[in-house]
Amino acid sequence: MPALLNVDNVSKAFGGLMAVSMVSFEVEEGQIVGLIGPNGAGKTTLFSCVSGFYRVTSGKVYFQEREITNLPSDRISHLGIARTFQIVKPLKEMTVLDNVTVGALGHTPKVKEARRQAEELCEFGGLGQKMLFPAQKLTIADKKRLEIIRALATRPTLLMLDETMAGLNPTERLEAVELVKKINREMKITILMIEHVMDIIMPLSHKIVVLDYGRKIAEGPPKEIVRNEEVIKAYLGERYNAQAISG
Amino acid sequence: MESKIALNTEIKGSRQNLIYVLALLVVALVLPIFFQGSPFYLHVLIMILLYASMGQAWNIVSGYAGQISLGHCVFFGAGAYTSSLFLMKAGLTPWIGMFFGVAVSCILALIIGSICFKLKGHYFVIATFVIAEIVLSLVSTIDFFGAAVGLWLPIKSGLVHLQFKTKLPYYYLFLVFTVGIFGFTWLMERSRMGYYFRAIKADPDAAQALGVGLARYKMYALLWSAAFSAVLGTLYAQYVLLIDPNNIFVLKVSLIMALVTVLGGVSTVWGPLIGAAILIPLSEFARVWFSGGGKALDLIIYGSLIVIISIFEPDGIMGLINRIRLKRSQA
Amino acid sequence: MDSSILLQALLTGVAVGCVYALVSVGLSLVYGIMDIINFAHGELLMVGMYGTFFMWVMLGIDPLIALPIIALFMAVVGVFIYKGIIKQIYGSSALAQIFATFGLATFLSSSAQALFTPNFRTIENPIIHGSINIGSIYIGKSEIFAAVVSALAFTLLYLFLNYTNTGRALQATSENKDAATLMGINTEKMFMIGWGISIGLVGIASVVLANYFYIFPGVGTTFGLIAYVAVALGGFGNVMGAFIGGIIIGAVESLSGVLISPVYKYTVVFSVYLIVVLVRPKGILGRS
Repeated sequence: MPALLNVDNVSKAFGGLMAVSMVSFEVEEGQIVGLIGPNGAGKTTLFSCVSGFYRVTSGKVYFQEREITNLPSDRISHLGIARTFQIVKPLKEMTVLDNVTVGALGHTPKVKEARRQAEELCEFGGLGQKMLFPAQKLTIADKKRLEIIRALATRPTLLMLDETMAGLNPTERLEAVELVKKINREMKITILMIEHVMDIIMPLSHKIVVLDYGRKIAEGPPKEIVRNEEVIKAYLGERYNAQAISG
Repeated sequence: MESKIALNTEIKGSRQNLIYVLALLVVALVLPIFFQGSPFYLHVLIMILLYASMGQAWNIVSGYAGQISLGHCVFFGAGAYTSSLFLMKAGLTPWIGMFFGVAVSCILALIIGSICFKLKGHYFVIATFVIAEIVLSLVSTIDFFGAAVGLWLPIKSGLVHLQFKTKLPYYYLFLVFTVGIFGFTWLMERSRMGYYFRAIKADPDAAQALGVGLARYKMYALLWSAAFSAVLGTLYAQYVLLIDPNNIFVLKVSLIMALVTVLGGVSTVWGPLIGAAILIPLSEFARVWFSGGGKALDLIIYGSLIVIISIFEPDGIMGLINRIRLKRSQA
Repeated sequence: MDSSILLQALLTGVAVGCVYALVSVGLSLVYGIMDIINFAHGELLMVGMYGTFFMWVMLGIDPLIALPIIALFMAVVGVFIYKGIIKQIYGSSALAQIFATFGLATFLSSSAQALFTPNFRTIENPIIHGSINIGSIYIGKSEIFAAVVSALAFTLLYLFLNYTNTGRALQATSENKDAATLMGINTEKMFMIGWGISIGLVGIASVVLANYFYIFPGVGTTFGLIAYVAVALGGFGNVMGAFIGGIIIGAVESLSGVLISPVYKYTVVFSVYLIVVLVRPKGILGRS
């Protein structure tokens, strides 16, 4: 079966600096794929290349077998890819409900209907009580939740999450993980997620892709990645305990 | 459950608001009768309506969509000059001339937008008033536009010529258009376009990621803004019957359009009206009391006001009101 | 067209361009440090010019002597503007930042009009006056003086920025505020110093300009606009670029005055702005 997302030898240079270098991997429909790597490995840059925020220096990106390289991000949104931002970008001064409504309006032109969908999504995502809050007044955990719900409102086929777990306490993390699982299993949305918190991404993912200094250094199921010498070296010798991934 | 409550409070709020709006409309209809004897007071009322509407036009692109323009006099002037030129050279009634004015203004908007929307932040603002300066120098020097002397409109009378001998009909004329522009803004706020404008203002990157085509919607905002400004230009020309570039294509006009909205509250429907209701009487009375120095005095007041608002209450009077409302509902 | 006319225009243009350059440098400096455009920059030039004029008319002090006094006075004004206005809107929305200095500009130019009337004033026969001629080329001594002083001031600034600790700290703040704070630089102090220098430079420019140019309430507006063009041309945030940009603009303005028409010389300058920001937003030397 052809892959949903095919990243083909994508490179991105800023001046003389190669932020992403010849990275290739695929994401199959229905999977949760984790993208990991040390700080500065180029993960967010890769996201921005795929979602249309940066133009690639070379390489191609295919989605549902059609080329989407260098398309503007609003076009890519309409094609079915949604992304969240590492540093959350709530639409300030608009309410939570309005934020999500903007997402829904992407495919539902009637405002009343879009708002109704937005309400349902807010309930689904756990922000039902705070729908009329101005987005900037939310806690950081709720802002991250809003990022996800808002992205969901666009009815994506592929959801790209950028470090949605960073800065959350253990309880919040558990809730976020449950949300991601719900999205993948109940809404049947494919997920590509960047994450630093190993305890989360290892159990969640079907497959892991590892970047270091802009290059892909490993790709495979979590069990293999955890034992991969290159990966361990890249994380400055931090040994990830293989037993921790049980469950 | 929560959601139904959300919608219900909004509907109740709307019903209350409707009553206020209708009351205001009645007041607006009846008000000039008290000032029938005084052309000066009627003039002030007309100016309030004019600037409230101009502010609202500015509000669409600079308030809601966040693309701050300080060159809006260009669109206002395009309307005024186009309909007036058609009237003077071809005898065309301003009612039709108005449409041509809108067309010219929109073409200008397309040109200006495609230049300026590529620019970010301060580049954009400077570009808007640089373009206004260019237009000013062109209109001031080309004879076809009346050069520095301007255009003297032929005196006619009657609704079909859009000219009246007394001020009272002008008041109602401006009132109709003001209600129209404000009504449009109210509807726009609740429409998909309105949501998209506000998203662009709040965070263009996030908006794009949610499927909002930035260039497209910024252009829509500018086009509507330019169209309304042009209509108001025609009405203004028909009111004063003499238009010259140094009163139309100047920074002062662009500034007042912006200021009434900033004072009242950008990105709100009522902001421009509140701002105009405060600012215009202030400046018109200053002009009368300090004739001579008066011309600069109103600018001194504007300048100080802009600085004070920017520092203490950038959301304007509506922002202040909303903050107080919020505190009360939380108490 | 006679080549001597062109040469005359070019020389005059470069001379006034040096003054533009000095004004623009201050604008670029503040933008680089704070990411804020001072829309009142031109009006502050006007304030300095009136200051120079009144020192001449009321105290009999020649601009040459007044130069350091006005420069210092304007530097202090710059610090006051920073503390009174800019500090309050730093971090506010784009609207607040734009309108704060724009409002100040409106306030200053209209106050000047109310206080001093719109009449054009000049300083008659200051110490430096008259012109020298080389062949058929006339150039005013005041204009040469203005150009020399501007170039000198810029050189001092450049040395200050690159060879003193404070200057380097300013540059660091300009490059990356967060990194600068981490290095222990007091960014608040940098902002204050930046504004002081910026308006102090404007003060210098205003004195040398007042020596030969008309002084009237609206004089600042045009110079302000030209400053934006020069800064855009040179690259926002790049001080050397702003200086070069200013000189280029001076030359462009002067040459279009003779080649096209004096009426349209500013139109050409503004068109240059639009072309530059569209084609090369970074400017000649700018960082993005």
